[in-house]
Amino acid sequence: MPSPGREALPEREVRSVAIIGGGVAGWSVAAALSHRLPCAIRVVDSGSDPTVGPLALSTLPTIQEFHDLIGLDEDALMRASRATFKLGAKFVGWSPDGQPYFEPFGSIGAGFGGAAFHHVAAMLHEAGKPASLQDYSLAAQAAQLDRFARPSEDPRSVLSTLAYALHLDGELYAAALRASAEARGVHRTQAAVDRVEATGGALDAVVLDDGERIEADLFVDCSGPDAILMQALGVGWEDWSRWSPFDGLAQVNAQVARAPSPYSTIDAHAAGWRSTTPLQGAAGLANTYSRETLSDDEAVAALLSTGRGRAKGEPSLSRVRCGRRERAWVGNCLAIGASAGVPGALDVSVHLVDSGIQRLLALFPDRGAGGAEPAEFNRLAAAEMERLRDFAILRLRVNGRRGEALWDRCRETPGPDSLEYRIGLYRSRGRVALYDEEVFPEPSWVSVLTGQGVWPRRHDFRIDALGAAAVEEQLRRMRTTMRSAAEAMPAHADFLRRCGAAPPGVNA
Amino acid sequence: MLIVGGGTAGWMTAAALAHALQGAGVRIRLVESEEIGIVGVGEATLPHIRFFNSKLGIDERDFMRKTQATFKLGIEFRDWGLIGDSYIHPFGDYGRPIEGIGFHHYWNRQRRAGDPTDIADYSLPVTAARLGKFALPAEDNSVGSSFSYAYQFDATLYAPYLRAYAEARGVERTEGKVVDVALRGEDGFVEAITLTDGQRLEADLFVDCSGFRGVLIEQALQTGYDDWSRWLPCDRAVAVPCETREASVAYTRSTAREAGWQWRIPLQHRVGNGYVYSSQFIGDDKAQATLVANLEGPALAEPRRLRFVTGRRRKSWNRNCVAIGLSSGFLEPLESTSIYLIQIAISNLIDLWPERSFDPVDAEEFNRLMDMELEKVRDFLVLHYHATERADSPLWDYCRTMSVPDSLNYKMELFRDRGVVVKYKQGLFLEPSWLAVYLGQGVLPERYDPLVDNLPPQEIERRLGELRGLVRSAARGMPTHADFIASHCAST
Repeated sequence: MPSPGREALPEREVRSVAIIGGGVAGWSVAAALSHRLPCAIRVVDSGSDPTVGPLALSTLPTIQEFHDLIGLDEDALMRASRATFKLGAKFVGWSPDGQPYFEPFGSIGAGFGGAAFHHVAAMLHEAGKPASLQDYSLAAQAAQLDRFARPSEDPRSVLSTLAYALHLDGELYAAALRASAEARGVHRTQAAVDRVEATGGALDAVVLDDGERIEADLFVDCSGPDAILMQALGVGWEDWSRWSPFDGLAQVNAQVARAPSPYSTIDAHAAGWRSTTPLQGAAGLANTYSRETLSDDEAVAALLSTGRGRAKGEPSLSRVRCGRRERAWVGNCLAIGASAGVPGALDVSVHLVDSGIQRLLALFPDRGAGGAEPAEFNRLAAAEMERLRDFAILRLRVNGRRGEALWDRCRETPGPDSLEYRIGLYRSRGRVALYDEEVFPEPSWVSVLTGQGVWPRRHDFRIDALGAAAVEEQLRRMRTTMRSAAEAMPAHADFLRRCGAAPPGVNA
Repeated sequence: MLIVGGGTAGWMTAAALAHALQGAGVRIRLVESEEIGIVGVGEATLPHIRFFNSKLGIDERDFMRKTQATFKLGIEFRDWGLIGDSYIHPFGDYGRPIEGIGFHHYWNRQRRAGDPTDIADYSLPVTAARLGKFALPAEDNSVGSSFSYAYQFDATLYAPYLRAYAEARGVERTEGKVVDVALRGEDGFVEAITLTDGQRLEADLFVDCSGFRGVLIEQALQTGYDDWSRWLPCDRAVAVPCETREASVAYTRSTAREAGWQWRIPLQHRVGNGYVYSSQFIGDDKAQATLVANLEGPALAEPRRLRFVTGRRRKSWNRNCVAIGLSSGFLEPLESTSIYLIQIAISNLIDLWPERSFDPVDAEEFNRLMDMELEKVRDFLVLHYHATERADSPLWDYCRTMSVPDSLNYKMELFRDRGVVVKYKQGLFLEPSWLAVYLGQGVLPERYDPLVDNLPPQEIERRLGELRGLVRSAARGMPTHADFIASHCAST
């Protein structure tokens, strides 16, 4: 190896970061960067949250890693942001037999003779003895009983098969992130952006409505779907609306007196779906719909008539447009959050913010522009968007609603090639093909496919060698273990109280 | 099902399938000919083989005794970047991440600040290997657990070992050579093979383990081959075992030569040697003479010559025929990947076990997975040849200046620029392997992760010093490789 000389340590050129857009996206980026970098960080926050999605936020288990990164204590967060725990989501009205299904976090069952668990379910289904996957998911069992506990690190404990995420009040969460960032010296400017100055593929400055001119070594576009910085740079858009015709979103928060459940509910209807995201003493209600099929007024009326609690404030209306920015990082500007893209109409915005931040930290430039980081960032970001897109479209492509024009069209429109390949492989032999940058693991895919009535034609032959009696005995034991473990968990509301939170509802 | 060809590929397949298909009512038959020589001449492996063996319930000590095996902590590469260079590509990480940032960024920072410490000093397997030591990895979180290991063994003994296993589980062996392959009229599927003695054998599924010839996959099905010689120009090998003279070490050696490279694989009873070379740049006789002149002890047999074309079969699984081993493609054994690729193919075949009617999705997914594995290995091997500063022979001039696959170019640019190793979830090779070769062959990153500077320099020095100390004392505390073999698994 060549001997090292005394080379000068490189000059750090990225000393200032300007984040355009507050809300959960902007303040997440600010909190993370301020925890890891000695730069001067500034957030331009117009005061209204530009993040797309429900006022109540649904998240994925990746959020815990993000909170560890910024040293955010989860219990403290539960107290401060009326948050509840999320073990998964219940989907009502999506399946051909009219039965709801649960998409849990964590694992479902365990391997059988080298084959994945769902092959057992497939085998039993073929034999006319249906098995419900939910019976083998600790998260699903606990959710059904409104229980909650955090997973165990001990691999021998059944509690290690759990995973969870959070439901958060968007405004309160953004406030908590902002507090974390400001405590570490992040500077906030309340103003709107008047114009963006760019030359030759890089940003020169962002000019505010009060005339202030903001320059920085690195700009982060957290301005939501409007993506004002990316637009100024002329970054193109790859549109995915043809696969997801649900372009309207009506939201309102409602006051709720009952104890919150540890899961969200997604209730399909002829023009889309209504979702309920439980918070402490409240719920985020949303109606995602096709504006071609339903007018905004009808959507709002349907939203308010769900009868889940008392609406607080006026419903907000926004547009959902699925697709992605052709590049997430151009020159000295990066898009994080909805400004980088919206892969599907079911909200994964918090996950995208968190994973974008992790990716930025792993590839943090020491020069404002140039270098190999943007290309790698873009490659990974594009891959992740496509994986999320495929999973989002899966639900629509194999929906079980018949006789409704919109849903029939979703089912009849072929998805992207990568999704069609995966569905074909699963239908044939129950195998889920997963790729690099996959976000949703195998159990999620299996839950959706099985829940919406898609059964593989064949199952893994290794199951057959085990013998029907042995299999049934194993399953019985697993069901019992899951059930007892779920019953031994505290009630969700009680667990929240143990965190110091104060949800309504009686003790279990 | 019918496996055509014995050797490592055929018997690994037979043994693994006999195990996996227990109770499934599948008749497994293997056809091999005593006449056809087996390619293996001292084989080095990757840690994955331990999983293969343990899945079959094979006991490590018994296996090592029966195959004259030694342990392998990595591969020493001599004279690859420049003549006089030596680095070991180990099974294990360099250091450990600090504050969530990859260790090599800290090492790079220190290097830029004038610290001459080789990154190998932060690797327990490299340090132990250099000292001629070996011990099994610890099961705790100490530095003693920060590595893995594989084996170096006599492949001509592994095949019969697995054959005994397979036959005990119902695999039928038939002696014979294939003289004809009958294809079904309507769909071109393989219907039957005919042997020299006239036996006609039918099966639903055929596995082609017939080596380079690809009796079924190529001669009969004409699947086609993608030639990769422009990136990996070696096309011949000459191999010979010799008596052991050097002290016992737990690693394979690859020494770059004028027209290729020479392997040294130490076994318990002797040393396997070979010169992999490009016939464009050296003649067979001269290559053989070079090999024989570079043996540590007297040769124990006549040198054997082999020819190959580096590349891969366009489809490893075509219709009802799956090619496993050399019939599916050839990548030189520079990083001991041959048995790994066999193992992966077998595992994928079991996961994608077909039905009688052969749904094409099975083959499509199998081929997708195998293609990905092969390309990743290819890129890694090409890196060894391309990342050189040698200008002393036509081969090295060619390799140094050739244009490499885009996928590799991309990886090298990213590393050169920023010290980032592209990561994949599936397939070989992981970050430490890329680091070993990049750094060992002089591909040094210009910049390192700026988050490294969050730690004050004295703290970085302290932590690195501490790690060096831990590695050194852990290595010193290990027994010698020779002693370990003697106590663990000495062949009689």
